[in-house]
Amino acid sequence: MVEKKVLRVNLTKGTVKEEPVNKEWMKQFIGGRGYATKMLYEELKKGTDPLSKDNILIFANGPLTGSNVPTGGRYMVVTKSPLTGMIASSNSGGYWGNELARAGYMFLVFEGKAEKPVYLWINDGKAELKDASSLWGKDTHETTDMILKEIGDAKAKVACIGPAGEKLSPISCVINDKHRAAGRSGVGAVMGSKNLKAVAVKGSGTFKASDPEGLKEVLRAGMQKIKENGVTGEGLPTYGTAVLVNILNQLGSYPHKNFQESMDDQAEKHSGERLAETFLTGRTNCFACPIGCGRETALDGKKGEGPEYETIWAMGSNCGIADLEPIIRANYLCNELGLDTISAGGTISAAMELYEKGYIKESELGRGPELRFGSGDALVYWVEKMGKSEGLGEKLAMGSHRLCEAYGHPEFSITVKKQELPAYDPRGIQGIGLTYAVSNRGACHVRGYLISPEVLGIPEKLDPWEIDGKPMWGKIFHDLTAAIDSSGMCLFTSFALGAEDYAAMLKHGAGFDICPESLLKIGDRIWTLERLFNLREGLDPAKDDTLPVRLLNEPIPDGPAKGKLSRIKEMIPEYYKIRGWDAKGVPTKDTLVMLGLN
Amino acid sequence: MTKVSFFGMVRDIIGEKETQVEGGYSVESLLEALSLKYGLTFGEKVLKMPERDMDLIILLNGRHIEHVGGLSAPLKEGDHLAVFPLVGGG
Repeated sequence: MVEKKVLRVNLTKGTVKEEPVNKEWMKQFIGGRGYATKMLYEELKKGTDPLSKDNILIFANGPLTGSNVPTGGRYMVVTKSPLTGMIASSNSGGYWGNELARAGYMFLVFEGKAEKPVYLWINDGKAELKDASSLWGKDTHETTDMILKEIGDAKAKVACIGPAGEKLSPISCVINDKHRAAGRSGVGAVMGSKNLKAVAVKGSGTFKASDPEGLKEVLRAGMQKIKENGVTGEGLPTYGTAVLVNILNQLGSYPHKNFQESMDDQAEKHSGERLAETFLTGRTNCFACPIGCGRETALDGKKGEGPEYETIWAMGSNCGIADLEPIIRANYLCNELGLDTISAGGTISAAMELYEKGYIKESELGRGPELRFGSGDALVYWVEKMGKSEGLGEKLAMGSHRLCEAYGHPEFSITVKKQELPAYDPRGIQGIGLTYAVSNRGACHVRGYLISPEVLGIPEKLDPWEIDGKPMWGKIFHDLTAAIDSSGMCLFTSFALGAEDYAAMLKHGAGFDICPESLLKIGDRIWTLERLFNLREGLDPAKDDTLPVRLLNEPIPDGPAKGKLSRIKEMIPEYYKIRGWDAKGVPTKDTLVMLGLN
Repeated sequence: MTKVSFFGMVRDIIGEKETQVEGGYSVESLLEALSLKYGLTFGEKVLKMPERDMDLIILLNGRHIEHVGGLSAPLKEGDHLAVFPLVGGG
């Protein structure tokens, strides 16, 4: 197994120290998401306030991060979430994770709270905390540029927070390489609460495969599959993720105006096809990625990345906005200010519904534009106010759950476990609703992307309206995804690769004694440990493993999926049973023994 | 008449966003009518003839054709067929 270290940083004391990686945990949890979950479970006291100095913040590479396996550049940020009060586990690409691996570390653990703003500078195995007072208040682009100038190395990589994280917004994210986000569950606020502005890293090490010849063979086969697959070989490179806009809209499962509708007759105007004709200037790849789904765009003299499908939907259709210009502006603002685009869009759309129904008063808007569906001016203005926590933006920055509760109408918050839903309507696509409802980090599509079989037909076509078999499909996808997130690879490879490919890459690349079955068992172990963490923190399955009432009680009003409601209540009992959990959603003793978690 | 909309690379290949096709009584016969209309390019690059190894997502009135009878699904006046390349995202 590749030797990598843990760097533990105590921000209260201002100390840094190296520790060996726990090899037993590696065997049981691989690395990345899995290992960090184990660490969080073992080290965090029950009931810790996520924004207190007692929370811990873990940056976690997988054993294949920094390797030459396809997409081997991913890292995770794991902590207790200020948004959900449960586990936060956010994944990001770009080049930062690779640089951390080259510097010799697999995990960074931050404890305590610095007395004043600091950033961590890691230079090839040497780490020091540096004063970040002059960076506080700066956006992520300014912060990155200023740090690179200060350390005098333009090739170093920076992960940082913007003003939203400093202001402790529970929908703030961590941005690395200026454009890539560990986006969800408020991980940026945990950094902010610790007075940690950034982590800059530079390394010169190289990845050493445990079996170079064996890995070469495995990579040849894997790259061939990625190249020949319609999604990874052609669809994603050509159009990026935004090409999904028209498909979901034609299915009638493209949420519109805060999920009040599920078709947008203006969707073509912000589709991937339109983006390609207008603002697209190029495509980008993360480290070691042969797919290259990233979109480079330009507007108002600025260059940026994105918007991705999720962002286009959250800022576009969900806010009733047709045109790409305000969506792109809001996307750039989110990246600069450090906001999660899905939650930011979901919160603006909830605010628009609150305003249009008379609950947010005009007098609360100050000089800002009216919060009306379809107003691009309102989107851009209020995203900026949200990122800076100014005026009504302070309430918006708390996310839609807290916003709607404050106005006495929690039913307008389209969230699970207080986290905003992504861009697929679970009334018209039943399986993805199961993933939303049971996801350990709150509503999330990338914890088990059932859109792949239900919409795209990969690996086989399932009927999105039916529920038969979905709990089993869900479990397999949830387990496989947990393992992929722990390896250091990107989930997008799973359009082309299967468990056998990931197991082979971990075996020949990082020396794991692993097969497809044991890989899925590790995924099961990770998912179940996340569940145990959440149960310890107060998860109430009967209340929390569900969908917003709108999706249970208000049928889709029009379009191909007219009349559909989520049937989540029928799927949950079977899902629990397949997982080896009791009827209340608690893993049984036998299950814990089987997974080695007893 | 059946309205047919094209998306993604399919749109690029044939150079049109949508068309109206007469005489298609099933999805299969409609694809054949499109082959006649757009010629070899459509057959080779979209339907991937002669093997017909097409990587397409075809929706009939918002339902994947696999769930409404596949290629032999019958068409009626006013139906809408949407033809997408196999794409993905998240």
